[in-house]
Amino acid sequence: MARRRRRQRQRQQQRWEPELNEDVTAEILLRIPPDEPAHLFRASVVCKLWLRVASDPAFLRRYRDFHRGAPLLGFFYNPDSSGPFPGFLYNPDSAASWRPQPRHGKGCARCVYDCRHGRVLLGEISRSKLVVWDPFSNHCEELQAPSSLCPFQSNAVVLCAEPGCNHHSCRGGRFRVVCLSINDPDCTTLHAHVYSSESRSWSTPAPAQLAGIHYFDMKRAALIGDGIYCTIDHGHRILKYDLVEHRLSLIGMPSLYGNDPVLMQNEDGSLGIACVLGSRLHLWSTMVNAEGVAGWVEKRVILPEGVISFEANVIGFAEGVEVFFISTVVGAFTFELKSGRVRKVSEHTGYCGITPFISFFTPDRGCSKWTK
Amino acid sequence: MASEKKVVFLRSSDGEAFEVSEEVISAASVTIKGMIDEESPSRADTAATTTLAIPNVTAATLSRVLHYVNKHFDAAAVVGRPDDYIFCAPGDEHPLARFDDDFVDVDNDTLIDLVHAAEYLHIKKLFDLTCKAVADKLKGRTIDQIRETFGIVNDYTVEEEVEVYRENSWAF
Repeated sequence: MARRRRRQRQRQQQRWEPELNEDVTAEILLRIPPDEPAHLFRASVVCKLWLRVASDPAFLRRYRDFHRGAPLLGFFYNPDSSGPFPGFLYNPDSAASWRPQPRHGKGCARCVYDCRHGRVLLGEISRSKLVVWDPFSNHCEELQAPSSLCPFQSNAVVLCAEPGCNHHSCRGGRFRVVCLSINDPDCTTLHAHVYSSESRSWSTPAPAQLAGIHYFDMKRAALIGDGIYCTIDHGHRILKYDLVEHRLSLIGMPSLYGNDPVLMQNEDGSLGIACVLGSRLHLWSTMVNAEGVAGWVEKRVILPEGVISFEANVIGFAEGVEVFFISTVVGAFTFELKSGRVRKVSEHTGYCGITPFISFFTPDRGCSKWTK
Repeated sequence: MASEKKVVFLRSSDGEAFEVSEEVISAASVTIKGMIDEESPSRADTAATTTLAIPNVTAATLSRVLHYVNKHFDAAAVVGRPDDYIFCAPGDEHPLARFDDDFVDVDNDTLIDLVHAAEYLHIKKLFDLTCKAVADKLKGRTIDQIRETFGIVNDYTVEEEVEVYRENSWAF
Protein backbone atom coordinates (compact mmCIF):
# COMPACT_ATOMS: atom_id res chain seq x y z
CA MET A 1 0.00 0.00 0.00
CA ALA A 2 2.76 2.35 1.08
CA ARG A 3 4.76 1.40 -1.97
CA ARG A 4 1.77 2.06 -4.19
CA ARG A 5 1.28 5.48 -2.64
CA ARG A 6 4.95 6.25 -3.05
CA ARG A 7 4.80 5.17 -6.66
CA GLN A 8 1.74 7.34 -7.19
CA ARG A 9 3.50 10.28 -5.61
CA GLN A 10 6.57 9.68 -7.74
CA ARG A 11 4.37 9.53 -10.81
CA GLN A 12 2.68 12.78 -9.86
CA GLN A 13 5.94 14.49 -9.15
CA GLN A 14 7.41 13.24 -12.37
CA ARG A 15 4.43 14.55 -14.18
CA TRP A 16 3.95 17.83 -12.40
CA GLU A 17 7.25 19.20 -11.33
CA PRO A 18 8.90 19.16 -14.72
CA GLU A 19 5.76 19.49 -16.78
CA LEU A 20 3.40 21.94 -15.14
CA ASN A 21 5.52 24.67 -16.47
CA GLU A 22 4.87 28.35 -16.40
CA ASP A 23 3.24 28.37 -19.83
CA VAL A 24 0.71 25.65 -19.06
CA THR A 25 -0.04 27.18 -15.66
CA ALA A 26 -0.66 30.52 -17.34
CA GLU A 27 -3.01 28.92 -19.85
CA ILE A 28 -5.00 27.28 -17.05
CA LEU A 29 -5.17 30.39 -14.86
CA LEU A 30 -6.10 32.45 -17.93
CA ARG A 31 -9.34 30.51 -18.13
CA ILE A 32 -10.49 31.15 -14.59
CA PRO A 33 -13.75 33.07 -15.05
CA PRO A 34 -13.48 36.74 -14.01
CA ASP A 35 -16.91 36.78 -12.38
CA GLU A 36 -15.51 35.09 -9.28
CA PRO A 37 -12.67 37.37 -8.21
CA ALA A 38 -11.55 35.15 -5.34
CA HIS A 39 -10.57 32.28 -7.61
CA LEU A 40 -7.59 33.94 -9.23
CA PHE A 41 -6.39 35.22 -5.87
CA ARG A 42 -6.73 31.81 -4.28
CA ALA A 43 -4.92 30.18 -7.15
CA SER A 44 -2.08 32.61 -6.65
CA VAL A 45 -1.53 31.27 -3.14
CA VAL A 46 -1.14 27.64 -4.22
CA CYS A 47 2.61 27.90 -4.82
CA LYS A 48 5.18 30.48 -5.83
CA LEU A 49 4.98 29.55 -9.50
CA TRP A 50 1.25 30.16 -9.56
CA LEU A 51 1.68 33.44 -7.71
CA ARG A 52 4.38 34.52 -10.13
CA VAL A 53 2.12 33.74 -13.08
CA ALA A 54 -1.01 35.30 -11.58
CA SER A 55 0.66 38.55 -10.61
CA ASP A 56 2.69 39.01 -13.78
CA PRO A 57 1.51 42.23 -15.47
CA ALA A 58 1.79 40.67 -18.94
CA PHE A 59 -0.38 37.73 -17.84
CA LEU A 60 -2.91 40.10 -16.27
CA ARG A 61 -3.13 42.17 -19.43
CA ARG A 62 -3.73 38.97 -21.37
CA TYR A 63 -6.29 37.82 -18.81
CA ARG A 64 -8.32 41.02 -19.15
CA ASP A 65 -8.14 40.93 -22.93
CA PHE A 66 -9.04 37.24 -23.01
CA HIS A 67 -12.19 37.88 -21.00
CA ARG A 68 -12.91 41.11 -22.88
CA GLY A 69 -15.43 43.14 -20.86
CA ALA A 70 -15.08 43.31 -17.11
CA PRO A 71 -17.82 41.47 -15.21
CA LEU A 72 -20.64 43.06 -13.24
CA LEU A 73 -19.83 42.10 -9.67
CA GLY A 74 -22.79 43.77 -8.03
CA PHE A 75 -24.45 47.02 -7.06
CA PHE A 76 -23.79 49.60 -4.41
CA TYR A 77 -26.84 51.37 -3.04
CA ASN A 78 -27.61 54.01 -0.47
CA PRO A 79 -29.66 52.59 2.37
CA ASP A 80 -32.83 54.40 3.49
CA SER A 81 -31.52 55.04 6.96
CA SER A 82 -28.21 56.82 7.13
CA GLY A 83 -26.02 53.80 7.73
CA PRO A 84 -22.28 54.17 7.89
CA PHE A 85 -21.77 52.88 4.40
CA PRO A 86 -23.59 52.07 1.17
CA GLY A 87 -24.99 48.58 0.89
CA PHE A 88 -23.83 46.06 -1.69
CA LEU A 89 -25.93 43.59 -3.64
CA TYR A 90 -24.30 40.75 -5.55
CA ASN A 91 -25.04 40.27 -9.17
CA PRO A 92 -26.87 36.92 -9.14
CA ASP A 93 -25.41 36.04 -12.52
CA SER A 94 -21.90 36.32 -11.18
CA ALA A 95 -20.40 33.68 -8.98
CA ALA A 96 -18.77 36.44 -6.97
CA SER A 97 -18.47 35.90 -3.28
CA TRP A 98 -16.33 38.98 -2.91
CA ARG A 99 -17.55 41.37 -0.29
CA PRO A 100 -16.46 44.99 -0.12
CA GLN A 101 -14.71 45.64 3.16
CA PRO A 102 -14.66 49.40 3.37
CA ARG A 103 -12.73 51.41 5.84
CA HIS A 104 -15.31 53.49 7.56
CA GLY A 105 -14.98 57.23 7.77
CA LYS A 106 -14.82 58.91 11.10
CA GLY A 107 -18.31 57.88 12.03
CA CYS A 108 -19.70 59.78 9.07
CA ALA A 109 -22.36 58.40 6.81
CA ARG A 110 -21.10 57.88 3.29
CA CYS A 111 -23.29 57.81 0.25
CA VAL A 112 -22.26 56.47 -3.13
CA TYR A 113 -22.22 58.80 -6.12
CA ASP A 114 -20.50 56.81 -8.77
CA CYS A 115 -18.44 53.79 -9.61
CA ARG A 116 -16.35 53.64 -12.74
CA HIS A 117 -13.09 52.25 -13.99
CA GLY A 118 -12.63 50.21 -10.81
CA ARG A 119 -13.07 53.12 -8.41
CA VAL A 120 -15.98 54.04 -6.19
CA LEU A 121 -16.84 57.67 -5.44
CA LEU A 122 -18.36 58.23 -2.02
CA GLY A 123 -19.63 61.38 -0.39
CA GLU A 124 -19.48 62.33 3.28
CA ILE A 125 -22.16 64.95 3.37
CA SER A 126 -21.60 66.21 6.91
CA ARG A 127 -17.89 66.87 6.31
CA SER A 128 -18.27 67.91 2.64
CA LYS A 129 -15.72 65.28 1.66
CA LEU A 130 -15.56 63.18 -1.44
CA VAL A 131 -13.78 59.86 -1.12
CA VAL A 132 -12.30 57.91 -4.03
CA TRP A 133 -12.17 54.31 -2.88
CA ASP A 134 -10.52 51.31 -4.49
CA PRO A 135 -12.59 48.43 -3.09
CA PHE A 136 -9.86 45.89 -3.83
CA SER A 137 -6.87 47.54 -2.26
CA ASN A 138 -9.16 49.37 0.19
CA HIS A 139 -7.17 52.50 -0.55
CA CYS A 140 -9.13 55.72 0.05
CA GLU A 141 -8.29 59.18 -1.13
CA GLU A 142 -10.22 61.98 0.53
CA LEU A 143 -10.92 65.23 -1.28
CA GLN A 144 -12.47 68.33 0.15
CA ALA A 145 -15.59 68.85 -1.96
CA PRO A 146 -15.60 72.15 -3.85
CA SER A 147 -19.08 72.91 -2.56
CA SER A 148 -21.66 71.62 -0.15
CA LEU A 149 -22.77 68.04 -0.80
CA CYS A 150 -26.37 68.57 0.26
CA PRO A 151 -28.63 65.90 -1.15
CA PHE A 152 -30.18 66.93 -4.45
CA GLN A 153 -27.79 69.87 -4.74
CA SER A 154 -24.97 67.98 -6.38
CA ASN A 155 -23.90 64.98 -8.39
CA ALA A 156 -20.40 63.67 -8.93
CA VAL A 157 -18.50 61.32 -11.20
CA VAL A 158 -15.13 59.59 -10.95
CA LEU A 159 -13.23 58.58 -14.08
CA CYS A 160 -9.84 57.39 -15.22
CA ALA A 161 -7.60 60.19 -16.49
CA GLU A 162 -5.25 58.05 -18.60
CA PRO A 163 -5.58 58.94 -22.28
CA GLY A 164 -6.58 56.06 -24.56
CA CYS A 165 -7.05 53.68 -21.62
CA ASN A 166 -9.19 50.54 -22.06
CA HIS A 167 -9.83 50.62 -18.28
CA HIS A 168 -8.90 47.00 -17.83
CA SER A 169 -6.13 47.79 -15.40
CA CYS A 170 -6.14 51.49 -14.59
CA ARG A 171 -7.05 51.15 -10.92
CA GLY A 172 -4.53 53.05 -8.91
CA GLY A 173 -3.68 55.30 -11.85
CA ARG A 174 -4.52 58.93 -12.45
CA PHE A 175 -8.16 59.87 -12.07
CA ARG A 176 -10.49 62.82 -12.27
CA VAL A 177 -13.55 63.69 -10.24
CA VAL A 178 -16.23 65.91 -11.70
CA CYS A 179 -18.54 67.58 -9.22
CA LEU A 180 -21.67 69.30 -10.51
CA SER A 181 -23.51 71.48 -8.01
CA ILE A 182 -26.10 74.17 -7.46
CA ASN A 183 -24.72 76.61 -4.97
CA ASP A 184 -26.94 79.61 -4.74
CA PRO A 185 -30.28 79.71 -3.00
CA ASP A 186 -32.06 80.84 -6.16
CA CYS A 187 -31.00 77.67 -7.94
CA THR A 188 -29.94 79.55 -11.02
CA THR A 189 -26.19 79.03 -11.13
CA LEU A 190 -24.63 75.64 -11.68
CA HIS A 191 -20.99 74.89 -11.26
CA ALA A 192 -18.83 72.14 -12.68
CA HIS A 193 -15.57 71.48 -10.84
CA VAL A 194 -12.97 68.99 -12.01
CA TYR A 195 -10.44 67.45 -9.64
CA SER A 196 -7.20 66.07 -10.99
CA SER A 197 -5.34 63.44 -8.96
CA GLU A 198 -2.12 64.62 -10.56
CA SER A 199 -2.32 68.24 -9.47
CA ARG A 200 -4.36 67.31 -6.38
CA SER A 201 -6.52 70.33 -6.96
CA TRP A 202 -9.85 71.43 -8.34
CA SER A 203 -10.04 73.34 -11.60
CA THR A 204 -11.50 76.80 -11.91
CA PRO A 205 -15.21 76.12 -11.93
CA ALA A 206 -17.23 76.28 -15.11
CA PRO A 207 -20.31 78.27 -14.12
CA ALA A 208 -23.49 78.32 -16.10
CA GLN A 209 -26.63 80.32 -15.65
CA LEU A 210 -29.27 77.75 -16.39
CA ALA A 211 -32.56 79.04 -15.13
CA GLY A 212 -35.17 76.92 -13.52
CA ILE A 213 -33.07 74.05 -12.23
CA HIS A 214 -34.28 72.93 -8.87
CA TYR A 215 -32.44 69.78 -7.96
CA PHE A 216 -30.29 66.88 -9.10
CA ASP A 217 -31.87 63.46 -9.25
CA MET A 218 -30.12 60.94 -7.00
CA LYS A 219 -29.07 58.79 -9.93
CA ARG A 220 -25.70 57.91 -11.30
CA ALA A 221 -24.52 60.03 -14.20
CA ALA A 222 -23.63 58.53 -17.59
CA LEU A 223 -20.24 59.06 -19.21
CA ILE A 224 -20.35 58.95 -23.00
CA GLY A 225 -17.33 60.11 -24.94
CA ASP A 226 -16.32 63.43 -23.41
CA GLY A 227 -19.80 64.10 -22.05
CA ILE A 228 -21.10 63.56 -18.54
CA TYR A 229 -24.87 63.41 -18.44
CA CYS A 230 -27.19 63.42 -15.44
CA THR A 231 -30.90 63.86 -15.02
CA ILE A 232 -32.27 66.80 -13.09
CA ASP A 233 -35.63 67.94 -11.80
CA HIS A 234 -37.18 64.49 -11.53
CA GLY A 235 -36.07 63.43 -14.98
CA HIS A 236 -37.42 66.47 -16.78
CA ARG A 237 -34.11 67.48 -18.31
CA ILE A 238 -30.56 66.29 -18.77
CA LEU A 239 -27.55 68.31 -17.68
CA LYS A 240 -24.51 67.75 -19.86
CA TYR A 241 -20.97 68.64 -18.88
CA ASP A 242 -18.42 68.58 -21.67
CA LEU A 243 -15.03 67.52 -20.29
CA VAL A 244 -13.09 68.99 -23.20
CA GLU A 245 -14.91 72.25 -23.63
CA HIS A 246 -15.46 72.54 -19.88
CA ARG A 247 -19.01 73.65 -20.56
CA LEU A 248 -22.46 72.92 -19.14
CA SER A 249 -25.62 72.66 -21.22
CA LEU A 250 -29.15 71.33 -20.97
CA ILE A 251 -30.85 68.72 -23.10
CA GLY A 252 -34.61 68.24 -23.32
CA MET A 253 -36.36 64.94 -22.69
CA PRO A 254 -39.12 63.12 -24.52
CA SER A 255 -42.41 63.04 -22.65
CA LEU A 256 -42.14 60.43 -19.93
CA TYR A 257 -45.43 61.26 -18.18
CA GLY A 258 -43.73 61.98 -14.90
CA ASN A 259 -41.79 58.71 -14.76
CA ASP A 260 -38.17 58.61 -13.69
CA PRO A 261 -35.73 57.76 -16.48
CA VAL A 262 -32.24 56.32 -16.37
CA LEU A 263 -29.53 57.49 -18.75
CA MET A 264 -27.58 54.91 -20.65
CA GLN A 265 -25.11 54.49 -23.45
CA ASN A 266 -26.59 52.72 -26.44
CA GLU A 267 -24.63 50.08 -28.31
CA ASP A 268 -23.93 52.57 -31.09
CA GLY A 269 -22.39 54.92 -28.53
CA SER A 270 -25.26 57.40 -28.50
CA LEU A 271 -26.94 58.75 -25.38
CA GLY A 272 -30.03 56.76 -24.48
CA ILE A 273 -32.88 56.85 -21.99
CA ALA A 274 -34.64 53.94 -20.36
CA CYS A 275 -37.92 54.40 -18.55
CA VAL A 276 -40.78 52.22 -17.38
CA LEU A 277 -44.09 53.39 -18.80
CA GLY A 278 -47.10 51.33 -17.84
CA SER A 279 -45.84 47.78 -17.81
CA ARG A 280 -43.11 48.15 -20.38
CA LEU A 281 -39.53 49.28 -20.51
CA HIS A 282 -39.10 51.96 -23.19
CA LEU A 283 -35.72 52.80 -24.66
CA TRP A 284 -34.94 56.02 -26.51
CA SER A 285 -31.94 57.12 -28.44
CA THR A 286 -30.71 60.56 -29.48
CA MET A 287 -30.86 61.25 -33.17
CA VAL A 288 -29.68 64.18 -35.23
CA ASN A 289 -31.93 65.09 -38.15
CA ALA A 290 -30.93 66.54 -41.53
CA GLU A 291 -30.97 70.08 -40.13
CA GLY A 292 -28.56 69.04 -37.41
CA VAL A 293 -31.13 69.30 -34.63
CA ALA A 294 -30.90 66.60 -32.02
CA GLY A 295 -34.05 64.84 -30.93
CA TRP A 296 -35.19 61.58 -29.39
CA VAL A 297 -36.41 58.52 -31.15
CA GLU A 298 -38.04 55.59 -29.40
CA LYS A 299 -35.98 52.55 -30.25
CA ARG A 300 -37.45 49.63 -28.42
CA VAL A 301 -40.28 48.71 -26.13
CA ILE A 302 -39.68 45.63 -24.04
CA LEU A 303 -41.82 43.66 -21.66
CA PRO A 304 -39.48 42.06 -19.15
CA GLU A 305 -41.45 39.01 -18.15
CA GLY A 306 -42.72 38.86 -14.63
CA VAL A 307 -41.03 42.01 -13.40
CA ILE A 308 -42.87 45.15 -14.11
CA SER A 309 -45.87 45.99 -12.07
CA PHE A 310 -47.37 49.44 -12.05
CA GLU A 311 -44.96 50.76 -9.51
CA ALA A 312 -41.81 49.60 -11.19
CA ASN A 313 -39.00 52.02 -11.71
CA VAL A 314 -35.77 51.53 -13.61
CA ILE A 315 -33.10 53.02 -11.39
CA GLY A 316 -29.79 51.87 -12.76
CA PHE A 317 -27.97 50.66 -15.84
CA ALA A 318 -24.67 48.79 -16.01
CA GLU A 319 -22.92 49.83 -19.19
CA GLY A 320 -20.87 47.27 -21.09
CA VAL A 321 -22.83 44.36 -19.65
CA GLU A 322 -26.19 46.00 -20.50
CA VAL A 323 -28.02 45.13 -17.31
CA PHE A 324 -30.86 47.25 -15.91
CA PHE A 325 -31.72 47.41 -12.25
CA ILE A 326 -35.47 47.67 -11.69
CA SER A 327 -37.09 48.44 -8.36
CA THR A 328 -40.68 47.32 -7.90
CA VAL A 329 -43.24 47.00 -5.15
CA VAL A 330 -42.37 43.32 -4.82
CA GLY A 331 -38.58 43.64 -4.75
CA ALA A 332 -35.65 44.54 -6.97
CA PHE A 333 -34.72 42.80 -10.20
CA THR A 334 -31.99 42.82 -12.77
CA PHE A 335 -32.92 42.68 -16.42
CA GLU A 336 -30.31 41.69 -18.97
CA LEU A 337 -31.01 43.53 -22.19
CA LYS A 338 -29.28 41.10 -24.55
CA SER A 339 -30.71 37.85 -23.23
CA GLY A 340 -33.95 39.21 -21.77
CA ARG A 341 -33.16 37.36 -18.54
CA VAL A 342 -34.74 38.65 -15.35
CA ARG A 343 -33.33 37.87 -11.90
CA LYS A 344 -34.66 38.91 -8.52
CA VAL A 345 -31.83 40.38 -6.48
CA SER A 346 -33.59 41.62 -3.39
CA GLU A 347 -36.89 41.59 -1.52
CA HIS A 348 -36.30 45.19 -0.54
CA THR A 349 -38.52 47.73 -2.26
CA GLY A 350 -37.12 51.12 -1.35
CA TYR A 351 -34.12 51.56 -3.67
CA CYS A 352 -33.83 55.03 -5.10
CA GLY A 353 -30.51 54.82 -6.90
CA ILE A 354 -27.92 52.16 -7.42
CA THR A 355 -24.41 52.14 -8.78
CA PRO A 356 -23.21 49.08 -10.66
CA PHE A 357 -19.76 47.79 -9.82
CA ILE A 358 -18.09 46.51 -12.98
CA SER A 359 -14.50 45.50 -12.62
CA PHE A 360 -11.79 42.96 -13.16
CA PHE A 361 -10.33 41.79 -9.92
CA THR A 362 -6.84 40.45 -10.33
CA PRO A 363 -3.88 39.98 -8.00
CA ASP A 364 -1.75 42.66 -9.60
CA ARG A 365 -0.53 44.31 -6.49
CA GLY A 366 1.43 43.64 -3.38
CA CYS A 367 1.88 39.94 -3.14
CA SER A 368 4.69 39.47 -5.60
CA LYS A 369 7.57 39.67 -3.17
CA TRP A 370 7.67 35.89 -2.61
CA THR A 371 8.16 35.20 -6.25
CA LYS A 372 11.28 37.22 -6.78
CA MET B 1 -6.19 5.51 -56.44
CA ALA B 2 -6.67 9.13 -55.57
CA SER B 3 -9.69 8.38 -53.45
CA GLU B 4 -7.70 6.09 -51.20
CA LYS B 5 -7.07 7.85 -47.94
CA LYS B 6 -3.55 8.05 -46.62
CA VAL B 7 -2.99 6.98 -43.07
CA VAL B 8 -0.15 7.41 -40.61
CA PHE B 9 0.69 5.45 -37.52
CA LEU B 10 1.48 7.21 -34.25
CA ARG B 11 3.58 5.29 -31.78
CA SER B 12 2.97 6.19 -28.14
CA SER B 13 5.71 6.48 -25.52
CA ASP B 14 4.85 2.96 -24.34
CA GLY B 15 5.10 1.51 -27.83
CA GLU B 16 1.53 1.16 -28.97
CA ALA B 17 0.76 2.25 -32.56
CA PHE B 18 -2.45 3.99 -33.58
CA GLU B 19 -3.72 4.44 -37.09
CA VAL B 20 -5.16 7.80 -38.08
CA SER B 21 -6.02 9.54 -41.33
CA GLU B 22 -3.17 11.76 -42.41
CA GLU B 23 -5.56 14.45 -43.52
CA VAL B 24 -7.42 14.48 -40.22
CA ILE B 25 -4.38 14.49 -37.96
CA SER B 26 -2.69 17.16 -40.12
CA ALA B 27 -5.71 19.40 -39.74
CA ALA B 28 -5.72 18.85 -35.97
CA SER B 29 -2.10 18.81 -34.88
CA VAL B 30 0.46 21.38 -35.92
CA THR B 31 3.23 19.20 -34.49
CA ILE B 32 2.28 16.07 -36.43
CA LYS B 33 1.68 18.04 -39.61
CA GLY B 34 5.24 19.32 -39.24
CA MET B 35 6.54 15.76 -38.78
CA ILE B 36 4.62 14.54 -41.83
CA ASP B 37 5.90 17.43 -43.95
CA GLU B 38 9.46 16.58 -42.92
CA GLU B 39 8.93 12.96 -43.89
CA SER B 40 7.21 13.75 -47.18
CA PRO B 41 10.18 13.90 -49.57
CA SER B 42 11.43 10.49 -48.55
CA ARG B 43 8.05 8.81 -48.89
CA ALA B 44 6.68 10.54 -51.95
CA ASP B 45 7.11 7.58 -54.26
CA THR B 46 6.65 4.76 -51.86
CA ALA B 47 3.52 3.10 -50.71
CA ALA B 48 5.02 2.53 -47.26
CA THR B 49 3.04 3.84 -44.35
CA THR B 50 4.71 6.28 -42.05
CA THR B 51 5.03 5.64 -38.35
CA LEU B 52 5.71 8.66 -36.17
CA ALA B 53 7.04 8.38 -32.65
CA ILE B 54 5.17 10.45 -30.09
CA PRO B 55 7.55 10.04 -27.18
CA ASN B 56 5.75 12.29 -24.70
CA VAL B 57 2.29 10.75 -24.87
CA THR B 58 1.19 7.40 -23.46
CA ALA B 59 -1.10 5.00 -25.30
CA ALA B 60 -4.01 5.73 -22.95
CA THR B 61 -3.75 9.45 -23.58
CA LEU B 62 -3.02 9.17 -27.29
CA SER B 63 -6.07 7.00 -27.76
CA ARG B 64 -8.23 9.66 -26.11
CA VAL B 65 -6.62 12.41 -28.14
CA LEU B 66 -7.31 10.55 -31.38
CA HIS B 67 -10.90 9.97 -30.33
CA TYR B 68 -11.23 13.76 -29.94
CA VAL B 69 -9.41 14.47 -33.17
CA ASN B 70 -11.57 12.09 -35.19
CA LYS B 71 -14.69 13.62 -33.70
CA HIS B 72 -13.67 17.21 -34.31
CA PHE B 73 -11.52 17.18 -37.41
CA ASP B 74 -12.87 14.41 -39.57
CA ALA B 75 -15.05 16.35 -42.02
CA ALA B 76 -17.20 13.27 -42.60
CA ALA B 77 -17.94 12.91 -38.92
CA VAL B 78 -18.46 16.56 -38.00
CA VAL B 79 -22.01 17.81 -38.18
CA GLY B 80 -22.31 21.50 -38.87
CA ARG B 81 -19.37 23.84 -39.07
CA PRO B 82 -16.56 22.44 -36.98
CA ASP B 83 -15.68 25.69 -35.25
CA ASP B 84 -19.19 26.64 -34.20
CA TYR B 85 -19.12 24.79 -30.98
CA ILE B 86 -16.59 26.97 -29.25
CA PHE B 87 -18.96 29.91 -29.40
CA CYS B 88 -21.83 28.01 -27.82
CA ALA B 89 -22.81 28.94 -24.31
CA PRO B 90 -23.09 26.13 -21.79
CA GLY B 91 -26.38 24.39 -22.33
CA ASP B 92 -26.56 25.30 -26.00
CA GLU B 93 -27.30 22.23 -27.99
CA HIS B 94 -24.46 21.62 -30.36
CA PRO B 95 -23.55 18.13 -31.47
CA LEU B 96 -20.02 18.45 -30.11
CA ALA B 97 -20.77 20.42 -26.93
CA ARG B 98 -22.06 17.29 -25.22
CA PHE B 99 -19.14 15.26 -26.52
CA ASP B 100 -16.69 17.85 -25.17
CA ASP B 101 -18.37 17.89 -21.76
CA ASP B 102 -18.11 14.11 -21.55
CA PHE B 103 -14.60 14.12 -22.94
CA VAL B 104 -13.20 16.23 -20.08
CA ASP B 105 -15.30 14.52 -17.43
CA VAL B 106 -12.32 12.42 -16.37
CA ASP B 107 -10.05 12.12 -13.35
CA ASN B 108 -7.45 14.81 -12.72
CA ASP B 109 -4.41 12.81 -13.84
CA THR B 110 -6.06 11.94 -17.13
CA LEU B 111 -7.10 15.53 -17.66
CA ILE B 112 -3.63 16.86 -17.00
CA ASP B 113 -2.16 14.26 -19.33
CA LEU B 114 -4.54 15.54 -21.99
CA VAL B 115 -3.44 19.14 -21.35
CA HIS B 116 0.18 18.16 -21.85
CA ALA B 117 -0.60 16.04 -24.90
CA ALA B 118 -2.61 18.86 -26.47
CA GLU B 119 0.23 21.26 -25.77
CA TYR B 120 2.88 18.93 -27.16
CA LEU B 121 0.85 17.99 -30.24
CA HIS B 122 -0.22 21.60 -30.65
CA ILE B 123 -3.96 20.92 -30.96
CA LYS B 124 -5.33 24.31 -30.06
CA LYS B 125 -9.00 23.41 -29.61
CA LEU B 126 -8.15 20.48 -27.37
CA PHE B 127 -5.71 22.61 -25.39
CA ASP B 128 -8.39 25.29 -24.88
CA LEU B 129 -10.93 22.69 -23.83
CA THR B 130 -8.71 20.87 -21.36
CA CYS B 131 -7.20 24.02 -19.81
CA LYS B 132 -10.71 25.36 -19.27
CA ALA B 133 -11.70 22.07 -17.66
CA VAL B 134 -8.74 22.31 -15.27
CA ALA B 135 -9.61 25.93 -14.47
CA ASP B 136 -13.17 24.81 -13.72
CA LYS B 137 -11.82 22.23 -11.28
CA LEU B 138 -10.26 25.01 -9.21
CA LYS B 139 -13.72 26.30 -8.34
CA GLY B 140 -14.96 25.61 -4.85
CA ARG B 141 -11.68 24.03 -3.72
CA THR B 142 -9.55 25.22 -0.85
CA ILE B 143 -5.87 25.91 -1.42
CA ASP B 144 -4.92 22.60 0.17
CA GLN B 145 -7.45 20.77 -1.97
CA ILE B 146 -6.05 22.40 -5.11
CA ARG B 147 -2.54 21.33 -4.15
CA GLU B 148 -3.71 17.81 -3.38
CA THR B 149 -5.84 17.55 -6.51
CA PHE B 150 -3.03 18.58 -8.80
CA GLY B 151 -0.10 17.21 -6.83
CA ILE B 152 1.52 20.60 -6.32
CA VAL B 153 4.20 21.04 -3.70
CA ASN B 154 3.70 24.02 -1.41
CA ASP B 155 6.98 25.92 -1.57
CA TYR B 156 6.05 28.74 0.79
CA THR B 157 7.54 28.84 4.24
CA VAL B 158 4.97 28.99 7.03
CA GLU B 159 5.72 32.70 7.54
CA GLU B 160 5.38 33.49 3.86
CA GLU B 161 2.14 31.59 3.59
CA VAL B 162 0.66 33.35 6.61
CA GLU B 163 1.52 36.69 5.06
CA VAL B 164 0.10 35.82 1.64
CA TYR B 165 -3.10 34.67 3.31
CA ARG B 166 -3.23 37.84 5.38
CA GLU B 167 -2.78 40.05 2.32
CA ASN B 168 -5.65 38.30 0.57
CA SER B 169 -7.78 37.37 3.56
CA TRP B 170 -11.02 38.39 1.85
CA ALA B 171 -10.59 35.67 -0.76
CA PHE B 172 -10.70 32.77 1.72
